[in-house]
Amino acid sequence: MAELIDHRVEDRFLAAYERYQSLNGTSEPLSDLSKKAIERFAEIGFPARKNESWKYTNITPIIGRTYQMASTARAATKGIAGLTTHVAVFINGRFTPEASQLDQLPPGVSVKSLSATAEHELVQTHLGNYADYTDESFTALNTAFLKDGAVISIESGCKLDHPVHIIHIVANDEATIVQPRTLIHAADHASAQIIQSTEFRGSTSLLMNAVTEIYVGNEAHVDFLDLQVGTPHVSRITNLSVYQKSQSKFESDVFTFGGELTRNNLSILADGENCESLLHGLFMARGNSHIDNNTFVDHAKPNCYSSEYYKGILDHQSVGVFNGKVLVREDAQLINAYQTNRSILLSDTARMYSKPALEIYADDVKCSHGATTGQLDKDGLFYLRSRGIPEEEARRLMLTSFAGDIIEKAPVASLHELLYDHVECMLR
Amino acid sequence: MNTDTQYLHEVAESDYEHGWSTDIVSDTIPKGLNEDVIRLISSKKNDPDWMLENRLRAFRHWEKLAADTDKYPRWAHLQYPEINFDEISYYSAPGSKPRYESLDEVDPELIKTFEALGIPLEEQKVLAGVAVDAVIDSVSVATTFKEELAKLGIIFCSFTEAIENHGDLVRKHMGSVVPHTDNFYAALNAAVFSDGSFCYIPPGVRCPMELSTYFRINQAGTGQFERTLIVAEEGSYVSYLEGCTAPRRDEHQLHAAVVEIIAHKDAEVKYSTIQNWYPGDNEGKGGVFNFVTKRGICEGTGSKISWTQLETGSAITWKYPSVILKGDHSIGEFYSVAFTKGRQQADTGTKMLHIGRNTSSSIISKGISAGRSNNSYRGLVRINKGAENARNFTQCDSMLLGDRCGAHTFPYLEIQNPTAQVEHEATTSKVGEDQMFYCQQRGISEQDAIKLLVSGFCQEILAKLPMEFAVEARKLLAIELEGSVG
Repeated sequence: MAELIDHRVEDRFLAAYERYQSLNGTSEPLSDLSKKAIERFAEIGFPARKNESWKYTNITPIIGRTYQMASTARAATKGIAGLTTHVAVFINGRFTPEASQLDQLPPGVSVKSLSATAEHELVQTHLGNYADYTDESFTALNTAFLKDGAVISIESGCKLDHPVHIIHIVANDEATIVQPRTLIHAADHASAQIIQSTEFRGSTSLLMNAVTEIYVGNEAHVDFLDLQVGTPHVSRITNLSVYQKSQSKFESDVFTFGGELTRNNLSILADGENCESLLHGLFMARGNSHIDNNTFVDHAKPNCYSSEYYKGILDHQSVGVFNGKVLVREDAQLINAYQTNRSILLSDTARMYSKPALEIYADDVKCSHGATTGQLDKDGLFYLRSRGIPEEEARRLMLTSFAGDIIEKAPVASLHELLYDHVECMLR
Repeated sequence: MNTDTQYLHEVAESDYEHGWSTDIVSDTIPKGLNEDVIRLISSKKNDPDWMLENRLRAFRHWEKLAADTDKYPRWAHLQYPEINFDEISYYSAPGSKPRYESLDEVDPELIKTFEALGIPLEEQKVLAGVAVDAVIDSVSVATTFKEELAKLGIIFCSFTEAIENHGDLVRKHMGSVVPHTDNFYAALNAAVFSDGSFCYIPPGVRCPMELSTYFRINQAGTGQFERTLIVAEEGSYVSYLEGCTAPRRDEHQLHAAVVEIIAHKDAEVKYSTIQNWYPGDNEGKGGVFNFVTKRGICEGTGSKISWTQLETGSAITWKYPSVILKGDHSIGEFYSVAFTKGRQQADTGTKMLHIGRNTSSSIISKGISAGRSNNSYRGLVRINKGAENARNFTQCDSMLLGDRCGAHTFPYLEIQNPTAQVEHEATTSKVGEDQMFYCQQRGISEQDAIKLLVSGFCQEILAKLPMEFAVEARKLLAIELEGSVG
């Protein structure tokens, strides 16, 4: 338990690193990576507002607080009712097999703790390879404090019958920082659906800094669904880095409901031909929530397809940010890349910042992006009211169907109802 | 390979052959920038005291920015060697001595381009730097125009004259839209600008002519740090054209101009630009660095400012003509075609800042990249909290004419009012194969088909240019395309 009390914000984390290392000792295979990461963090520090990709998100208030490093705790979870999944439970960032239900996993699929598998070839080859700690401060920080996490491996040709559900439970009574780490490896021809959600058991402020790396092998198929239901004292920085081999398919669905400050970094490197990448996101904010979705699709090889669709509904004084970038590298011909961001502002004080960017270095491509921000369609509202539907209900109906566009895209159909419930909850 | 660039290069070389640059040197002040240089420029321009004060204030601010390397604007998608501001001479009087005695001495390639562009013979002479016959000197034409404008109360003169004769007007408006603190290059310009144009349209006056016909001829040699100020009083209208389709080589590498427009109640200002500075050779050497700050303010209710630009030249273009929509019901427009080839780099776009109620803005930007060039659109649409019912429509299309060039789009949408309706769409693609096939199948050559398709791609924008320039602009695009495709 290292306390963070020094003066300069970065120094506190550097000092905490020293104490953390001496307290917990170093598990050999990870210490090299961790050392490199902290050195890099010392150099780059936290991103300032001047940093183009953090232009609209000010992290000073959340990193300025004094946090405890998360300690071990005991907890249990029931998971999501009505959903058949293999449940992997992480309590305060540590894999807890006792609380998990993994006995039904099909052959060829394993869910293990990172500390137990740190010396395995799979971890050695892939960990830290996709989540870039040299450029992204929070990834560097996560990597530096790397002790445990989840390693999900789907062997070549194996298919998951039901989704693996990663549940992070955070139990804290003091302001805490928790830094989960996940590595998902889908070998060639493998296929898997992964759901990730978080349960908060405390009521004090919490900073979650999660890093997830996904390797999608040749002709493999991975769906990753991230469900974040925040409370006003929870801030989340997530970094999801995906590496795709040829003919693979990856789909990401990010649902963010509330929270103090949320920053979702999603970067995909399509490093093989005929890749398909789908990025869907829904964010709903009220109160003083701040939700920032930052996506980066890097098309390095020809003949790929990517489609991005993010929707947001912002109420009260909340702020929404969409920062999307598609890069088509030289010689990556025949790329089709689409990007759409639609947002609705419900109050006079809500704000939306949208920055869909294209950077293209190949000529035979079809790329487009679109962004709209506005109010609910007045004609639609009028139509519903003319049919005798009260205004309140008409608005709710329209907003639900607006959000429904994204929900219906989520691959796990049995989750749709739950997602609609969250939407309704946010609109109440 | 690229005949167009090649001949431009030849023209560039030939200038030195004729020893023109040595003529200039005698009028140029020593390299470097310090307070003495500012005072020297100021005294050469016979500035009144307040102007010297302004310059010094701007210079002190610039010094601060220059001292801190973090303050130098690096956010643009551009790569160029760091500029050594001490290696630049900040003032040179326009060369008064003609370069050539007659058109026969001028490079025939250059004359060919002029003819292709349809530039009248007399203008050709002026542009090529040939001594102009006193009888048909354009100045006499200009004088007739000036008299006509004066009758209506329109002031249209060089910045130096304006400071001398209309000091109060200049003092009141200069720096009100682009203050010297705005950015690095605005500060530099405010400190060292040598000349430019000033235009004042009195209330209720509709300027009867495009303020371009004669401006085009007179602007040659206005210096590298130009400053333009346009004030349109209540209910007035003016259409203003800057630049020239004819290729211009310049001895200055760095250009940092500032344009300010103020539109009062119900006034309308239409500002068109054609920019065709020397883009450098195929390796990108020697081209002009064009760092321009252009901004207009729709001060009054119902005012309108419209920017139209055709950018084909310069090695580096850094330019964002913007509109501050302060008055209720005001309108801002931005129409742009940017063509880059060779090693050219352009980072251009606009800013639409909605402050008043019921304001609307439209942005249509077309980027065409060829060769090894990079062409970026960067545009900001900000709807402020109080800007009820603001409306924006943005469309940026990019076309790629090669597999070694880049086309980028960086839009920024900042919405702080729920009644806003903001739409942005962008596409990037190459010349349609079906369209090409159709044209070629009708016996149109590949070159001509591409010209046709590119011209169609830009049609929307070129149609916004004043008529005669639209014709020239189309021809200019066709010439630029030659040799850059296939």
